[in-house]
Amino acid sequence: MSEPVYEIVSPVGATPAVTSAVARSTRAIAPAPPLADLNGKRIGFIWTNFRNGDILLAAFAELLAKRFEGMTFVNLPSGKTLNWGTYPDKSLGEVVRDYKIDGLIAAPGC
Amino acid sequence: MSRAISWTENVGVPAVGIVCQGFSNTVRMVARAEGLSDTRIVELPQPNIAVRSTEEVHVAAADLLDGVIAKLTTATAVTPQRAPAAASRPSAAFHAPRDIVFKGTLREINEHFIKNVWCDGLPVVPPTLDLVDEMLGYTDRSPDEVIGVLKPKNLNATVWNVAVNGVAAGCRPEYMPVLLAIVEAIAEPRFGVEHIGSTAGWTPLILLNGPIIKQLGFTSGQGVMLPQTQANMTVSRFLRLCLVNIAGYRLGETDMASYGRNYYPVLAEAEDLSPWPPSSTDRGFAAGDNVVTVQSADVISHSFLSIGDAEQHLRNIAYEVSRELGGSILYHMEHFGGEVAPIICLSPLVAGILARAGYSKDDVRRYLFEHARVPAWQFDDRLNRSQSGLNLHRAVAAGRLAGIFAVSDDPNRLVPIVHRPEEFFIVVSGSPDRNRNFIAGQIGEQGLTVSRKITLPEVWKNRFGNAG
Repeated sequence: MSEPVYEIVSPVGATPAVTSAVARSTRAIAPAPPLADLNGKRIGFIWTNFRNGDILLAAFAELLAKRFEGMTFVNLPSGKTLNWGTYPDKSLGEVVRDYKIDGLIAAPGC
Repeated sequence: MSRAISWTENVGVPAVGIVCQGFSNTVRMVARAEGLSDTRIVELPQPNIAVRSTEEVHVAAADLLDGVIAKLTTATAVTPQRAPAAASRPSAAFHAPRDIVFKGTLREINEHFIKNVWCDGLPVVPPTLDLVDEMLGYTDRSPDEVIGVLKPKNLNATVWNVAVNGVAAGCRPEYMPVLLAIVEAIAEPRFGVEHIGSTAGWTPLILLNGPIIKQLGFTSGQGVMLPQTQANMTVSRFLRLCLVNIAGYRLGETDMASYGRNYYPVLAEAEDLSPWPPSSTDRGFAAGDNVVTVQSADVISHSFLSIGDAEQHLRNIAYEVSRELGGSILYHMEHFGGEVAPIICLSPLVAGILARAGYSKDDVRRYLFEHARVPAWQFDDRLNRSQSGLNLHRAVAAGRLAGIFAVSDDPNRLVPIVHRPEEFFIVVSGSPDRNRNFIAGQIGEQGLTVSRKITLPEVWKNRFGNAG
């Protein structure tokens, strides 16, 4: 006796419709143009609250300040105090603009 | 981090991520799901940054500096992709809901699921059109309705794919209202579904209240946390399949758990044996509402005993709470979001002893807040493990903890293990005649508690009457 044969549908989630607000936020993001150099630039730091990420960022600040003229550094808030663009709270993109950040370095720690 | 990079690049600011070796692929995949076509990454070779000394971290920074500068000052290799012109041209990886994607025997179906990483490694019930339609018979909602978007893959959870995953998990059709409420809960930003793939590898715990418990045959009694009852197990398994198939969690790609946990059976409350109002009323619902609550449970304690009169029971419970939640999990209380929701599950016997002695749940919470404490040095030690030099005084100064945590410099002063008494979530469940209890530790903004009322379809009255 032959085994039964089943025809199945996919369990995978659906792509968002292009017209939805979420889909607009997940459209292709063009990588940002590079900085010409780092002299006088304001760099934002994101640390995701795991060990040694903060130390790494502080070390970068020290080294960059020695190598380039007039750099400034801003520690941006991390975690749920900041959303990543689709949540009702202020988005990271808005914060980056508010702080007039020219470039960002993110370090997690682990 | 991937999202931080994506949203920064989105406003025209170059962003570079420093990534421990082994995580680059994950960062790229999650960033791609956010729409970023190329990611500026500098990889830190082993050993993991967490095990390096401060001096070694400084050396690593010097080693990586040129790479970081290059990433910020160099165009990425990939040219920007154009946005898709219309939804009518979906990617080849996605199908219309009712498309047949595979045909085969039960064994072949399961091989297909395993090959595509559509499951949890266990055999599935083949999601055929007729079985999915049976599930849809227990909702009045349109199959196309979008319940939410689940990160990290940013895919839509729809009524349809909830039904499909429910079938695959082995759920009965009448579980469908519970399944929908679960997905509504995890789609809430507060829950933080995007954190499930983190190093901690935490697993959500589902709690259930209301008449639906008995209507659907959930167990809330002896052995409630054992894999035995169809309802408790398959509903929880359904959530795991959703996390794999809709949220898009894959081990080593978007899921970087160090160890992880198996999914827990649904914890249904023994409402008829509890001396107190249902735990869902603590979340703002009315007694008698059908409510599902989802939250992280990174630790499940030993089922500890408590003895004696009410006060002795409370002392025993407070000791176990301080032991269980005052260990490694403690730093989440300070580090991750300012709110935790540990579950204190008491057996009906123990809850009854406390209630007859005049203790309400609020009384129990206040007692635990006052007595489930740890010495400050223990908390300081745990904070320092997460962030070098961090201690309670610095956390209070930074505004992340209240002043009660730093009233003196005495390292042996006793400090609370939650922010406020209301954070203890008391649930009555388990073997009704045993003096055993357990604790489930929740880890702050990673899986913060979300509750949703379960909406019942019209057909429910015919099947189960008006209750619920």
